[in-house]
Amino acid sequence: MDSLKSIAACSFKEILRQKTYLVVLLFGLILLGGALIVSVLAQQERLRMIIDLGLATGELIGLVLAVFTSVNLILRELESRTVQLVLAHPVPRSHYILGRFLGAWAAVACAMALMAALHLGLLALYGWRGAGVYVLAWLCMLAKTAVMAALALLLSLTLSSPAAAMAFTLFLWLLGHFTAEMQFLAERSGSFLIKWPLLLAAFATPDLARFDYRDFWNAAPGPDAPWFLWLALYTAAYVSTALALSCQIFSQKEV
Amino acid sequence: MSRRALAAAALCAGMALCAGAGLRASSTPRFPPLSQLVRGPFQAQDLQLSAMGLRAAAADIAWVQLLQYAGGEPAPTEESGRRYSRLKDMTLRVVRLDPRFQRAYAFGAAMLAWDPEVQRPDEALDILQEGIRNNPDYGLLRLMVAALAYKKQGDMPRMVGLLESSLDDPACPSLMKAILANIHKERGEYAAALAVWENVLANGRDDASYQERARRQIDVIHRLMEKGPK
Amino acid sequence: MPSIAIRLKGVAKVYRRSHLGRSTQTVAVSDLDLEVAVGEVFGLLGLNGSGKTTTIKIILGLQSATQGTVEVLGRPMPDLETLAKIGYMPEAACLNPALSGREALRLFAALSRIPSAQREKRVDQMLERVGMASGADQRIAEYSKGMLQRISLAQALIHEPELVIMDEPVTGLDPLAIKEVRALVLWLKARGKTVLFSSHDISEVEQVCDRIGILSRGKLARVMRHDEWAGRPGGLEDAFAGAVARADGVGELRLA
Repeated sequence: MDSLKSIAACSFKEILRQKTYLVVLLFGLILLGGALIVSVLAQQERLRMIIDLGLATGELIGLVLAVFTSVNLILRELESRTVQLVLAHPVPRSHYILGRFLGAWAAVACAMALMAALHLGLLALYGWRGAGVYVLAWLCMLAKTAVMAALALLLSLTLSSPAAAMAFTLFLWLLGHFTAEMQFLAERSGSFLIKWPLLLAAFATPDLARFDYRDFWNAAPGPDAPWFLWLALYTAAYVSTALALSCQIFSQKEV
Repeated sequence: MSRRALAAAALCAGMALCAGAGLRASSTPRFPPLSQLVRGPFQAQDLQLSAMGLRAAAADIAWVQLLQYAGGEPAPTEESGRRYSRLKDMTLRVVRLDPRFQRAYAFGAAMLAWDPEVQRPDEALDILQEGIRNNPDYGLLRLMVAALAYKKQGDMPRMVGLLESSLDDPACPSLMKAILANIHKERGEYAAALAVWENVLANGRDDASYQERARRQIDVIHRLMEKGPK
Repeated sequence: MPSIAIRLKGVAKVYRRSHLGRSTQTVAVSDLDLEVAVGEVFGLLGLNGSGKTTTIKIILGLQSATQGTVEVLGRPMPDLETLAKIGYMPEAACLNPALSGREALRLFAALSRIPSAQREKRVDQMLERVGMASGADQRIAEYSKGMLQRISLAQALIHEPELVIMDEPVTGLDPLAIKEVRALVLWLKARGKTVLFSSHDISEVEQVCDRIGILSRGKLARVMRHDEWAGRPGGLEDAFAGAVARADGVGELRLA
């Protein structure tokens, strides 16, 4: 576990020091400020717009950071051969993968936490007091980025190309918001060749719409505690599946 | 390593499937399917944002576009010859993106039912009925349906009384308050009209255009009151 | 305690690549039998592309042999317990440029299973020993080649390994640095450590090695003991020239 913690800590530092990370974070903060300005147009729904645009910004920035860092997480190390020196030590390859992933995701979580803190500060200035649901919304967004980061890592190891991995990850992100539609189409389809691949895709693709708690936090009745537990389990299981497959692929890779 | 990793992956995938089933079993509020999004000039924009899982933000942008359309001066007369002919569609656009956007129902319905340049109560009713279906806990919409019924019957005092009772609802749009104030003004009920405009001034701080309008109207009404009753 | 530190038997490594239905095969190492005794300094000589680095990677378990067996310190590789007793210094420093020298060393100290209570002290001692105490907190991206080499060396020795493997340790170094590497190898030998290093610099190899193996096109062409070249100027060079064949597609230089 020491090796896992040390690799995670170094990954965390490495990503925090990357220029791309800082630029993307700065861009996110600028977008947050932009939300303040644009929201004036919403008149009586100004507060709602600040909340929605702020949360949307947080999710998009988190996603960009998660995908970009995860796609390059191992590939860059393979290219620069930095991984050789690490694996020449008594480090299980699975610890290397997990450590790199945890460090990277922790860095993304820090960026999102910073944006959340600033956003919440802005909302407090407007007299908004919705901390409980707000924190839950960010946690759901964080869970979504964990799923996408794990997928990005798996795809990068499978495809061995950062550009292809990024493209496929973004495609899966879009597809993940249509799982209900895919299931609907599959149920309606009479053709075996369409029905089963669609069903397989619907179940294999992460059901990302479930993570959009920020869009339905004011629904009545809203999600209850068991729902959040299922979501946490779903996140953990999905991320673990992707990481286990990543470990499997990486164990076969020659460095 | 490989067998363990594959076994772990299979186990976790199984857990993910179970958890997914658990999520489906506990109800997650789902949005109307994409096929129900309103078609029109902003279709591509709505689809793109929905595909990215940003329905609430898409609804906010659609709301701003609705306000810009509704606030257009002079009132747009489209090819059909009707004023604000796309008002219902633009309102539905917002609420199909986010069925919990309560103010959009109230705004669209109020303008359709009571704006002198529009006067399409049937379309207003359609919006209110959809709103009640999606927001059963939101009383203002039922109140507006009742007020609309009184309007159709010609029972203006009861209609006005119902609309008055909605003034303190935080989701009551300034548009509806303005319409109510104008009804009072036309009926010579200047004190009541003044009270409504003062309500707009006190509660609509984010609504700069209505704040400005409220100040002007308060001046107008004061002058009318000085002239004497109708 | 085994008497043989490294034992390779019938080791072969074939790279297979397939692209659009076509597959190609490259034999990097074939039929390699090699033994390195405990406490010995063994030099692996060969031209570029002869299979030196591949052999080292197979010994470390970074790549798997297509055929044959690999045993290090009495255990078949890959084995994590054995790796804990090996110090590896690659040809290029392979350090994370975003970290400082100290941070990198802390990482490798943790990976080498040095207990956390002792880690900081060992890192400080190692930095002093390799002369990097003042530059330790600079980012690795700003290091010169010499500084990179020092940190690379520090991480290889911080856990006091029994077996030290160095891949072309003197390539690109100035004469002073080369002298320091030579002294280091002899210091390790004096402490009973086993050293395996690869090089294509004959002058370095002949000064420090007990035995050398000449690799040519993935095969071990010849193994020589120190007494076979000692006292005969140019002896090792002639033996080397006689044993190797170019594998890089470059022909002989004709001077007449």
